[in-house]
Amino acid sequence: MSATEAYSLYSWKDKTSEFKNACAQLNIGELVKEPSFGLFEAMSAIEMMDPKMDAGMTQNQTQSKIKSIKAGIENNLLKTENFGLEEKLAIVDNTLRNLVTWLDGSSLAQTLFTNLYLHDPNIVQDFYIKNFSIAILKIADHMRHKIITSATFEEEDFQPLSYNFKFAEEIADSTVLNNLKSAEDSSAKFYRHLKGEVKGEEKQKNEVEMAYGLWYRMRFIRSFFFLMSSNDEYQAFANNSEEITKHINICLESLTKVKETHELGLQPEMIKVGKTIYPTVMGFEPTINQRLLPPTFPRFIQIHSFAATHEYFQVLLTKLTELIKVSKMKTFDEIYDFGLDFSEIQSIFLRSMLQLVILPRSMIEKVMVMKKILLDSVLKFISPPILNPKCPVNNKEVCLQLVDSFLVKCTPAFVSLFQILGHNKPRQREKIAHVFEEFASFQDEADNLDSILHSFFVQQKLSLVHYGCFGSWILNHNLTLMSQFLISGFELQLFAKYECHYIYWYLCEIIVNWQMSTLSRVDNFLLTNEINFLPKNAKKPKKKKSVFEKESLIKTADRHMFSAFYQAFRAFLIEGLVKSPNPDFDCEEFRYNHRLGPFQFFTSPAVCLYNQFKDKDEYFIKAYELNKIYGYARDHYDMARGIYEKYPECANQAKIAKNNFVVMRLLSSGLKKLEKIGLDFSEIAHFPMMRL
Amino acid sequence: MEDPKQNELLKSLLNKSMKVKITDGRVLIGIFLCTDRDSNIVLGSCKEYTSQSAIESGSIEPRSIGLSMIPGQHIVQLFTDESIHS
Amino acid sequence: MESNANLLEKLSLSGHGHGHGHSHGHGQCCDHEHEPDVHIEPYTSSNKFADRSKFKVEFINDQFVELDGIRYVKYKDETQMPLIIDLITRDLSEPYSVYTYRYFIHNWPHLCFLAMDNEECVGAIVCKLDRYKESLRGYIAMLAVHEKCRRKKIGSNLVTLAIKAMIEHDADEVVLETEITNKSALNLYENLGFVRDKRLYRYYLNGVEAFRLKLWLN
Repeated sequence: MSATEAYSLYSWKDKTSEFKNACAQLNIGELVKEPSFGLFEAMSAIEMMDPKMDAGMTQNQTQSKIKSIKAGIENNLLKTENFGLEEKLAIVDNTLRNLVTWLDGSSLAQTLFTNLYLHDPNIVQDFYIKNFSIAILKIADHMRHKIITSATFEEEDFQPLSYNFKFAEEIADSTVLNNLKSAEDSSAKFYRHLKGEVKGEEKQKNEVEMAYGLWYRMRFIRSFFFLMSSNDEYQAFANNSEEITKHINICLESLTKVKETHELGLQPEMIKVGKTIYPTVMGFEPTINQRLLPPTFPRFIQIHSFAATHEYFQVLLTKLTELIKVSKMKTFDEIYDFGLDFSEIQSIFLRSMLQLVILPRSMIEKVMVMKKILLDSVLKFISPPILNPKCPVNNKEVCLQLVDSFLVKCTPAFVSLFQILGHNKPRQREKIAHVFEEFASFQDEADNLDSILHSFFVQQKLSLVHYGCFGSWILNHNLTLMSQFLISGFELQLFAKYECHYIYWYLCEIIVNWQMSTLSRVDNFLLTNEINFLPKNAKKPKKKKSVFEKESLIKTADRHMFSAFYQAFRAFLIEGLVKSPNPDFDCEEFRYNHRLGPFQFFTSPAVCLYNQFKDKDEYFIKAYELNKIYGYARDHYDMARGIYEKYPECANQAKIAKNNFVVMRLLSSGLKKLEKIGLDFSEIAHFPMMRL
Repeated sequence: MEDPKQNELLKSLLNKSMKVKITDGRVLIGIFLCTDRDSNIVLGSCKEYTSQSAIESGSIEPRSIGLSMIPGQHIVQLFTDESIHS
Repeated sequence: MESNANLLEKLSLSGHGHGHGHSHGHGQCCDHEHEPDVHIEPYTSSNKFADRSKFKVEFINDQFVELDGIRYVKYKDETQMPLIIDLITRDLSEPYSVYTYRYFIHNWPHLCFLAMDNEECVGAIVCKLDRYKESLRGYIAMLAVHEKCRRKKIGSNLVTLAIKAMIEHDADEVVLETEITNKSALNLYENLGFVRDKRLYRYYLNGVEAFRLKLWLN
């Protein structure tokens, strides 16, 4: 039954005044309502005629000039051929702006598909615009598919809804590539032809420049299409990196030319729809899809500027180059560190690509690859004697089986841990807290495994040690996770200044301390087993340099920093340079417990209770004068600086340590009383720079 | 003062279809669920038509907007359904 | 042979700063070369909100309290609704219909307060209190203070009244959301001991990020 037929079944009677009169008789605040209907539901109702909620309102105010691509052509509002060069450039550039806006979290209906040519590219006669339109559709579909496959987006990152738009599914990627090749070739030919003909006149020079611009737009889209059309990034980035690099470079080069010629294209007319301003050129109709939008509140969107679009692609392409490097990485720690930095990127597409490059798409393969990565990691970290080919244990098969089942058990959790890096930063922090329980349980598993393996060694009177092997490896991971959880609190600006002292205390006293002792234990472990693997009469090697020398030193410097910050913030609180909250409702103990509560699952190190912290903290501030406390902070900053300065990659840390050292020296001298202290968290979120 | 008869009228309309024309010409059809003294009404399973003529010509499909609240001040005309099936 | 227990002991000892391979100077926060002899009473856990009746506010005639010339009144009935709506619509970015106000105010009238400067309503707070997972969660849905009355602590006083009422009704925590750019709201709540529990990426309709602020009551 059509809507019209359905409508004809009603028999309407005007009750306007009767109804309004009846309502007016109600008391203030009295409701007449259907009994099962609650106010909670009422809250979700869309308020008509409220511009903030009523999406339909904008539709009636701004009627589309063009109702559909067909109607547009019939009414001569839409060209399909004989475009001027300035129009072609404008259509391409405006489409790219909309593509990028969509990738940044807006809906397809409000962005890319305001371009009518994309509704039916086969209607377009112009060879370039037609093939460009088809390529864009397929690119959008490939990108959407990659983001969905990596499953790391949230509603605030990306809108995958396709509104039943067609993405030129019937055309094969290979056909598109061929057509783009022809488009590139013929646009190059056209440019050379034009260049040969034209001499002198300014207007004609412009034509030549625009032809040059068109050529590079075709060149860009061809290589970009190539990059996007892969269905197996894991293989492609590992085995086909040369070709990928080649196309990335073509894209980057072409992008520069696109930018140089952007101004020559027809500049869009700015059309206002609701609060959004749409840049509009031939072929675009901003309100064409308004009725497809969900009846939720009209979302204010901002189409990216051309400059922002250019930058988006530039970052995207540069970061893809980095992904080629990461595809060669072997251990989980390397990959995870890389991913942690990489996930700073806002682009959900790039964050998804990281996932697809590191691990294959299918779950079975993912687990297989991850298991291999974990094996390489544990070998590199602590080279377990049982995995040494020379290990003389006589039930080796059984032992290796045990190691294997331990890794099999951990692998899925590591897969999901890696996947967390694909999410946006605020979500990452929540999700990290959710994996603590599982990772804490691996500690027991690892310790058990070590003790079983060790007992075999003992039974067989081998002098090898297996205690603290897999256990230290897991412990080191868990400490990294804890540290990441607290550090991300700084990055997301979650900690109030009056909270910093206990966070720093925890980082210094618990986390970094444990990290350092773990590394030193691993060093000893490696040395002991190395000696034990030597033939009986061989000369013992001299004590070698620590494997983790650099790491340990940097950890030492970090510990000095955390220590200094704890002391400085503690003194600031006492002096009132950092204001304590109003004591009516505030309770430091509750804050401490909730901030560190997520660590409750860990047994090593077990979460340090507030009273333990408080006893040490109280002792410290009672035992020393303020000057002395500032003096300790000063010394810690100085020692941190001394270590950081040895490593060029720690230059920023060294700079902050040096700066804060100077401030602390002044405060410890007691020569100057400060009214307030400036704290700049912008350089390194967890190491604020102090300013007088 | 409250007139019980008036209140009965409103109650009798609950869960019935209602058509409301609003100040910008749009027409909404939905199930009457709630009202207050200022005729701020809530319609469930609401369909939005761009105009009365759009309904009659059937030129544009209605848009489903689910639960909607129409402030009394924006109600131009209000109709109740008197057909037998209601 | 080292026993398992032995190892664990070692682990936890090292956790408190002993026996590192690479100790450079005093790395710890609290212990230093010559430790002074200071007596510290062991810390005992806080029971700040154990006696909740302490937080009960005495309202004059069960209607209002007065502070610096402003009367803070309990919500009475819908005659006050237009005052509240007027004030809140003025400066909140989110759209609310009259039924949104009713959801909160009809269900939790005891968590709604108005600040009156004579006959003029210059501030209002609207809240709710219900179960969220294991805790009873108070939620500050709306708070508004008239522009001309800013800096008079009216906002802070309204929030204080609401929190006290929530404490009286056994709330475990109080939460709210605010835009990260709203410095004055952040200051107001952080001064009361609220901390930023979460960052919410593109939370509002206008695409701005928000913080979820939280005050823990146990």
